[in-house]
Amino acid sequence: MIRKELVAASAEPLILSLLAKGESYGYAIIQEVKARSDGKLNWTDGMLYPVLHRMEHRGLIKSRWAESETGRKRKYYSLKRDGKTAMARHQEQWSLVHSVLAGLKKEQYV
Amino acid sequence: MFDLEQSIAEWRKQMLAAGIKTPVPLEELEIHLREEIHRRINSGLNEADAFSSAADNIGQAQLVQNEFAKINMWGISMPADCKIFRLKAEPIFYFFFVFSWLVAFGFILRDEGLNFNRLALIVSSASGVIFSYAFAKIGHRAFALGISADGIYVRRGRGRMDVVRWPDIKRVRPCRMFNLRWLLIYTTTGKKIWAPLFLPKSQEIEFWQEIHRHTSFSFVEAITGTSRCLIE
Repeated sequence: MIRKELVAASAEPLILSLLAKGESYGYAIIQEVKARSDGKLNWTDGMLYPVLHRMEHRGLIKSRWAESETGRKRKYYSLKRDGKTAMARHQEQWSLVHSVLAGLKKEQYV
Repeated sequence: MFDLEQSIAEWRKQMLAAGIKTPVPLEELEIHLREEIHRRINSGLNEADAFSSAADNIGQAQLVQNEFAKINMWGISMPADCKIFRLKAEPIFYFFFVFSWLVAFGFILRDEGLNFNRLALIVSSASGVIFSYAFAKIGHRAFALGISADGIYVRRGRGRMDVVRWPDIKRVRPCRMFNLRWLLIYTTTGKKIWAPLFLPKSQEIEFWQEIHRHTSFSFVEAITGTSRCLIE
């Protein structure tokens, strides 16, 4: 299981990156993160919504209520222009951390 | 006999009691809960187990509410470790007083000409003092600036408190407008955020020192261009 602090820090970049593929709603976002991390990135479901609301408040994403194909009402979130910029910056920073870690790991095995 | 709808209604009551607002976000959380119950029932759980595990997964009502409480109509709350800088009340008072007095005097001149009733001027000036005093008291607290490890807490977008995170800030500089000091924050997305910076002198020095503490050298260089004396 991934540490709580890392789960919290990765929430915003993950949500932004998922929404970059197209609009989505809270439940689907959680399911996709679980599936992509083989269940290792486990968010407390209720904690996703304050994060989404805060990102909406900061103007990174926007939302709309709509009915799904099954007739269920859902709140769909999509990326705004500032969200795209924030996502690019997050990806750049996480790539940098990843490349530093990968480089250090490589050196250990040389 | 387990009643799913009754259990969901009880869960809603707990959420409401914790302070989670309806229809949003409670509606959104309930939709999530129902989808999760549905998925668990489809994977073979009975209704009671599906409800109880899905409700556990949503999390404790109070913890969820604590997170939502950080985003309210006034914006997000400043964290406990935030260094708060409160504005001087006097410039806000003078700003509103001069403004209200000019407006009132303009109306009196328009309606009564140069032979105006002096009592009207005294009454409107007195009410200007009262309102300006109230605005100064409110502004002193409401437009405070905060600096934390996250970034600068400032009122933006319909006057709501928000945090401008350090990585999102390109540079900050003080400037002067209407003979008052303002803080100008340039973000990496090309936005400019204005905030009142009429702090007591000692507080302003401390403010820039805090910014200095949280930023890189190149960033500080941009600040020192206009407020070298404050940092030195």
